[in-house]
Amino acid sequence: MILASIFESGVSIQFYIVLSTILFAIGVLGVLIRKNAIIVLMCVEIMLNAVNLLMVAFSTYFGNGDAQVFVFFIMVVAAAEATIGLSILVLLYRNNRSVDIGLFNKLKG
Amino acid sequence: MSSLEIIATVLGGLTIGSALMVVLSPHPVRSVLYLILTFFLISGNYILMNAQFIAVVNIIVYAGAIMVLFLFVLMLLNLSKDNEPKSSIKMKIAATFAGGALLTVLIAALKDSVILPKTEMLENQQGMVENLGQLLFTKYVLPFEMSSILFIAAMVGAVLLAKREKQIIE
Amino acid sequence: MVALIVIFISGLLSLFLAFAKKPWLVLLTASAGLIAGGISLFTQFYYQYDFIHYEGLKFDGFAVAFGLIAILFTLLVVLTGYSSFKDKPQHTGDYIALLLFSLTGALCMLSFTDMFMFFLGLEILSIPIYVMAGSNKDDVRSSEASLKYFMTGAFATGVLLFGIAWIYGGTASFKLDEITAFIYNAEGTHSSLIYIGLLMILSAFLFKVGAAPFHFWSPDVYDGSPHIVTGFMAAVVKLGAFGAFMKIFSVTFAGLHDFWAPALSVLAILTMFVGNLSALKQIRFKRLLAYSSITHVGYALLTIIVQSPDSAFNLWAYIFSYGFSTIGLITVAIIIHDEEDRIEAFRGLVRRNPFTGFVAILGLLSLAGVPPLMGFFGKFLVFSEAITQYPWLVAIAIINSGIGIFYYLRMVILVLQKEDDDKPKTPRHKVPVLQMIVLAICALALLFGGNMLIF
Repeated sequence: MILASIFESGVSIQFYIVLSTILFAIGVLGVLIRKNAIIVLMCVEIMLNAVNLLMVAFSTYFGNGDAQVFVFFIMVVAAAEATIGLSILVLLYRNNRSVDIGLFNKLKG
Repeated sequence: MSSLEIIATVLGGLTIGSALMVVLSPHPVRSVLYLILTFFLISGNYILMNAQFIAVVNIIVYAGAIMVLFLFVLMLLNLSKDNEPKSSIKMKIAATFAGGALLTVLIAALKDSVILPKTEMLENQQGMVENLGQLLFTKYVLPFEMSSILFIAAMVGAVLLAKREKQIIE
Repeated sequence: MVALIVIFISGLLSLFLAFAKKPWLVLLTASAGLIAGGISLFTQFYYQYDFIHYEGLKFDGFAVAFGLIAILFTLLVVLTGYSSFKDKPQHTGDYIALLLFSLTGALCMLSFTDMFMFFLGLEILSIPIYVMAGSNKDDVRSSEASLKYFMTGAFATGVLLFGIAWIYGGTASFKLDEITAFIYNAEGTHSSLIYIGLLMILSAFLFKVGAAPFHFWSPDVYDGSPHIVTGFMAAVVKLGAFGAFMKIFSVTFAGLHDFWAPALSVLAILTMFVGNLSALKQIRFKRLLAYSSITHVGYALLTIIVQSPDSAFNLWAYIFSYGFSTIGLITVAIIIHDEEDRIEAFRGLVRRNPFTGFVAILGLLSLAGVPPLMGFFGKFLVFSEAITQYPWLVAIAIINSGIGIFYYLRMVILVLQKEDDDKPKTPRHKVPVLQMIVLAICALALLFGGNMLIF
């Protein structure tokens, strides 16, 4: 099924810009206020998804597939980052028995 | 208001709501589940924008693979208990203020923005698998190959970090 | 491109050769790969040959000049680190391979022509370093450094991507030359999308190079990581990040110079002061190095703020001199091998190991910018270029160099001093041959490299 472009039917590009900005701000907020490292990682994923949404919106708007390929690469990187992040967390948990960011204060000076 | 507009607005509102729940819910497992919901809703947005391939990949990669990894780690470390210390009120206010300021600045800046004209087309198909495949394996084949370096580095790194060292028994 | 493939393959080979449990074999492969990579990078540029057509990477003079020193620094770091890598023979291959993969990312970041390769290069540069920062698995501090680096890095990546998306919305292109052309053609009537995107990319870059106000992670990460990784971060990662910074800001966004230059100059001043004033009271060596690197980032930002045809060369010279001093000092710190990494451990070094102490003094004085060492010429080039356009900025930078001399000299005196008589004497440190070679190369470069820079 092929729909007509959504931007022909009254939805403006600004709607998606605002939507993805709000999502991005929610992600930033989560990174700032949450203390659990896993949830902080999830908030970074929300930020990346906000970017993806904006990219796809622009791609559809300009009628150009480049940005969707970029989204593809963002997903590749998000997967790699999640892997590394979680393995760092597992490593830390083994040493510290906690993933609370506030407890990680061995490095001070 | 056309029906498509109503659908887009409702979908957008739901997406924001469930993303907020990820941040606000105290229980990590609930956060993960809300995040999966968010990914499905974002995929809905992609389908509205006629980006079917990205929508499917989003569900397979994010909701299917990455979130399962998150859940595994949560279970493995037994973090499903709600034992996260509350961050201080001051910190919360500061963070809310920062997030709000970012949002206001962006939206204010948007109001007078000049946006390039959109291309007029009734049927846009660049989100289909054929077109994206064409692009990915011709124009963007070099980044595609480079991402293999990224993956092998991530793989080696994950094994290096998460593997328990063998105890040397004498 | 050939260089990139050669280095990647030598990384892969060292991964597999590690199964033989012979660390020297891995070292040999990696060094051979690095040297071959350097040669192919140079010949490809010199003879202008190419075996396939590709889009997204362009090895021009800029990329080759920066790429060659990136390869050289990596070689030095690998040689220095060999003595600590071979303590864990089952992991030697992994460590060296990760460093080489990171170097491919750095080469990518120096030669990209579109946002795709820039973004991938940045990630390939960073992800192995997140891992390497935590490679000392028994040490909680190392894992903590890794987590901090990862979190700030991932956050910065998110901000950067959002910036790229806004730029795409404003210009409808991912290619650098198309973006440049668009900005020049639409003089004065840019959509605010471009400005917001630019600010976001700028802050992501400040995160990555560790400039104020986004520098808070760098002392902790430098302090917690193993010495080798600190050296690699200070030399190669910074080089890659600065190369890309210059490519994006001095070239692509040159048309918007009036918009970002004032903001960046204020931040450069802030960076210099924050780095210097915090460095004054440090007692741990790697933390001192971290704050000193923040200050040097402040000086290096001058080359990006100043729009001139020589900027790229000045940045190159600056990073060249900075990298040699840092790698020399890190090598000395590895030789001293103090568990707590105190600056105090440097006391009386020159009496115990005269040559090592000599290189330490050279490195410190070069960081301070004392003639006739290489660091002086690096600073001289940067400041003399900037003085016509931004005299006040140079004045502040010179004041900061003065503050810097204070703590560098304090350490030089410590190296020269006699040890306390009442304490037991530290025995003479053993210096492996490879580290001796690295020290000799650094000493030669620091002593005589400066004269080559000004010709």
